[in-house]
Amino acid sequence: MVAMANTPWATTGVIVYGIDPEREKSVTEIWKKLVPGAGEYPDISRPGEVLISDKCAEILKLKHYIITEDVIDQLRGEKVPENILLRLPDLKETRFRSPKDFRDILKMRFTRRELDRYGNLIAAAALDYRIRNRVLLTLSDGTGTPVQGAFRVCGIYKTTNTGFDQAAIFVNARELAQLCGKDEIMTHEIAILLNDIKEAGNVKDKLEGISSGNSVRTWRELAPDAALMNDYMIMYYFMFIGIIMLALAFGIINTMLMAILERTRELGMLMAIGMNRKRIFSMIMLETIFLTLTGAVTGMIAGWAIVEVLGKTGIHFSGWGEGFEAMGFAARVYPVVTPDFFIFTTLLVVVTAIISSLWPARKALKLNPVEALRTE
Amino acid sequence: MKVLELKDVHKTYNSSEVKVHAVNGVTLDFDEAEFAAIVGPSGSGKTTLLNLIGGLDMPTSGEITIDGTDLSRLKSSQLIDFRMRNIGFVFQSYNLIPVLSAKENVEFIMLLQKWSKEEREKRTFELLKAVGLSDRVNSRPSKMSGGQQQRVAVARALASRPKFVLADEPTANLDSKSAANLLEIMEKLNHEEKVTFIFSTHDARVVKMAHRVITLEDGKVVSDEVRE
Ligand SMILES: Nc1ncnc2c1ncn2[C@@H]1O[C@H](COP(=O)(O)OP(=O)(O)O)[C@@H](O)[C@H]1O
Ligand SMILES: [Mg+2]
Repeated sequence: MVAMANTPWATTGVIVYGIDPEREKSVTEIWKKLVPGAGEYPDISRPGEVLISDKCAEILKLKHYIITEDVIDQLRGEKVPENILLRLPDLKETRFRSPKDFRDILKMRFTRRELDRYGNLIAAAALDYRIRNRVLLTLSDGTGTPVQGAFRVCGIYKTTNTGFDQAAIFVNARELAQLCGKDEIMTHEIAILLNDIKEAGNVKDKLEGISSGNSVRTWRELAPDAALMNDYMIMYYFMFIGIIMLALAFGIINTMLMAILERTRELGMLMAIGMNRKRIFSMIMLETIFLTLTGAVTGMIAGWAIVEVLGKTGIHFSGWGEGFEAMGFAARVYPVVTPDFFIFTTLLVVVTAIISSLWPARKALKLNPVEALRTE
Repeated sequence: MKVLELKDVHKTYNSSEVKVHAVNGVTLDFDEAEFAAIVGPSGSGKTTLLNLIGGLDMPTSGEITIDGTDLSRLKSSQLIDFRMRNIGFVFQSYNLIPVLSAKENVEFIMLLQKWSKEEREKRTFELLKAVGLSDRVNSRPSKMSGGQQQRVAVARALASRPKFVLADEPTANLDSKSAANLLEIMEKLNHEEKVTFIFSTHDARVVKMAHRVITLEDGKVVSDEVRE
């Protein structure tokens, strides 16, 4: 439901989702996106809790930076040099309500290089949320009468979708119903998480038969821009893969033709003493495949390691961060590679290797042993 | 029975404007366990003749019969197999497989012929001993002298107990001492294994060691003498 959220310092429009905290876990991953050390997930046993995002906390001025003795200790633990730490204590106990203010203060105290190295660490350590702070929600009860309820922030979440984060806040569905003067929970939305994304269309068709006038939407219809982006990504992926495979094919053909050229005499000798065509052919093919597999395995280990590291640290698109965030994507992207992607790519590489080894192998077959032996 | 018979064999190259009669009507036959040299000036057709005998090249006309089998009647796949079983080759530039050891080079054909491991080992060590390389069994060709490499090549040629061994100028890249040593080993194996050796050369000292000398000129046999 659309609502107005108030804190003593700020006001913003939000969409309140009444959820069943436990059952919500099975369809969305909000519960996995909690900011560590900043509160917890709502619990039915504790009344009046609201879960808001990092972005929302910032707007509502529930997010601040504060240097405490603990923060300094923590930074020391992370191996920030003493000469940096020494310049922090006089900031102690001052609250900075926006990242910008905090940055500006730091900028005055530290050189650019120091900031580049330690700025993020200091900001992360000093970041604090006003957990348990009251948020006043004002909304219409459905008949047009405004109602108001006070909630306490129980936790902070942060997803990669800033557009979503800015608006979405979560409260217990039963409390939201009570606030609107209803005994029953009003269900506006039933989320269904499918095991296979490709089934979405089929399931929609089936549900529409029994939905008695309620609308059934697939994720594509709900988030057409995300769907479009997703389609583009897949298209780009195939284009890149296509280009890479083409380069791979040329690489293999080139390498193997060179190998055959260099070993013309050896091949001629092998043919003379009794290697038949089938054996020559399979020898070249096997050689190509081994060569490719060696490269592929090395590449995959390297690729996996890089993704593993970047998956932890994230890739920050600092230059385009704003554009990304405006589109609802996070500026910091955490790459993940699924096993089937790996398998698919491996198969593609092997198939490319086999296809591109055909030509060199045929070339080797066409060698005439007499001519091949004569070459110097 | 004759191991090898050539009847009026011709090989003509048409590649340029002029026709080259590289082999021009050669009729020859070889018995079991012969030790024959083919001599003649450069361009006289020695290599071409050996390629024809070895089934690497097809004559323009004439007939080549090995152990009763007319080579021209074999399909190309049969010919390869026939070659593997009946003919050993020694090349001027050794042509060993560089990534394999001496032992593995000798074993190679036996592997292609699917010999058992014991048979292979036995034959390989027997041959490497015969060519005096018992101590170089595991050496790569690049770690051996030219003479040693050519001795491995001779061992390889004999591996599958062929009817005869063809060697095109086997000593051309060797110094005279290694050449004499190689010839002695070939002669010994010729005697012990009862296998015919046919080698081309234009080295007078090598010619001296042959039991039969066939002289070619312009693709024709001009003399064929047997001596003891
Ligand atoms: N592939 C070929 N194409 C055209 N002419 C060739 C070819 N091979 C050999 N010849 C010619 O055949 C003749 C005999 O050559 P070759 O058998 O190599 O002689 P040798 O080994 O006694 O030096 C030479 O005149 C050579 O130029
Ligand atoms: Mg020659």
